[in-house]
Amino acid sequence: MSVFPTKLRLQEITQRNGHREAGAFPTSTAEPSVTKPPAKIRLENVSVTFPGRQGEVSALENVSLSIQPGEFACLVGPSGCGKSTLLNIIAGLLPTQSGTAYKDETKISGAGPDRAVIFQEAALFPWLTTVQNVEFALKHVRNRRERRDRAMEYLKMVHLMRFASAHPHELSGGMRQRVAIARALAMDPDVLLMDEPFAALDAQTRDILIGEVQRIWLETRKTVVFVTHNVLEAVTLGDRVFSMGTRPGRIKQEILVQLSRPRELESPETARMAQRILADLRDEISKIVQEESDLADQDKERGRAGGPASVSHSGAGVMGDGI
Amino acid sequence: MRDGSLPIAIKISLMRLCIAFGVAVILGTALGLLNGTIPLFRRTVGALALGLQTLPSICWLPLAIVWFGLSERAILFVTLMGALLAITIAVSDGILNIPPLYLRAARMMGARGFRLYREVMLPAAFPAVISGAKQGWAFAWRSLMAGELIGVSKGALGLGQQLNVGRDLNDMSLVLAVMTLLILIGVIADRLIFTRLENSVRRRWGLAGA
Repeated sequence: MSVFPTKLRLQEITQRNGHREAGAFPTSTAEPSVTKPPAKIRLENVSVTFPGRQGEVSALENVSLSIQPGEFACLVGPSGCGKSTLLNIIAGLLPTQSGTAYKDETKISGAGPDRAVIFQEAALFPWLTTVQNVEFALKHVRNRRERRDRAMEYLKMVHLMRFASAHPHELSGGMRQRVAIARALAMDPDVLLMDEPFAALDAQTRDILIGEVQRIWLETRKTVVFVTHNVLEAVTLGDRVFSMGTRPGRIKQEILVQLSRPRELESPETARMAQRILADLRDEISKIVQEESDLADQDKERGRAGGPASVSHSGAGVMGDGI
Repeated sequence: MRDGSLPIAIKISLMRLCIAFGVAVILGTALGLLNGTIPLFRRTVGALALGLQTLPSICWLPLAIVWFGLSERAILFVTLMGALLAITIAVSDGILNIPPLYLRAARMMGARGFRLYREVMLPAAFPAVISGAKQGWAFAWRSLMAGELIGVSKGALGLGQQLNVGRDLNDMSLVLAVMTLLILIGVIADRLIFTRLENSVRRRWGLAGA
């Protein structure tokens, strides 16, 4: 029991406000660093705005970050902080409006099989069976027999061999998400992007899948970018956690998680670390709640029927089941 | 009516239907795909197709007769026009209603161009294609009968023409026999082909009621 205090090290690396002199290194880690390899993913002053109900809403403002090869990076923050937007930019599913995103120092200009995405809903094709869904990611393998064998191997990795010929609607939500993981792995991507993959699952299933993701990552050592609103999830899985703030969406803190693996969701180390991050994020959450109730008040003043009820209650769900 | 002309009439009508309907499915699916994926096409040709859909297909007959004469081809053309637009519209609606998530997943896996059409868009729109085909078939069947009734009395006699023969000869039994056959064929096609196809797709997709 006396081992853990030495393992527990929380390093708040940089307190960022999105203003940084140009040309600086993307991360100035406090790690006793050797010469660092070039970043796998690098964002440089990325900003995105969306049209909102009161003019432009800034989803991301001057976000810069870099993720090393083989690193498990987590983006955590309340809803509306632009974390999914950030992931979609890395995936190439959304264009940057200003700033640049790089993968292996090459500008990202579109989606590609080198960056596999696991969406919140599994996004399996309902007209294909489980194994055919995985095979879709293996279309470059010409030989049919080999393609089937490879797909089965990936299904084995997520313990779904028995359900190879089932259709997606016959699987539970957790199983579907595991198929999506198998499909993403089958693409043999450089980078695995996960967009709140467990948010729609029940707690037990989520816990099991977190364990599986950790195991698979330890086996494959892919670069992973994992988006979640659940701080505990982020701390359990991530080598590095980026906590994000909202209005405008930006990265508040970069936290290095140096706990030994495999980690447990319930262990005191992860819980303690999660608490600290959550304390920091709480300001953000109360900011959102405040803003939303302000909006509700405005609606009330305008006498807009139905407005207050539909707006003000959502604050409660902002951080979901985060700890 | 023991001369065996009714089985021959059935065969002839069904042949005409199959040819015209087959062409309509292929053309309609292609047009529907274009309409569903290319906004410029949708705003120009697509808008026109929607307008033409309001035109009863038998109104194409005069035009067809001028183009093709009192021939087999005129009937086929009317039948084709009856089914084509219904299928086109159903397919393009099917494409437009594909959940964006499927397309993002496909793009993320590197599917683009022809492969995206063949392996994602068409299968995703397949339920809509089937109901379009079902509707198209019903339209085609009606148009065929109208075409045969009004249009052509020479050449091979289909069911519609037999109906006309019955009228000319004041043979009520023939008229009623043909009408019964028309209903039977319609019901059989609907039950045996389209409803089955629809159900199997719904089952596979998990859309069937629990």
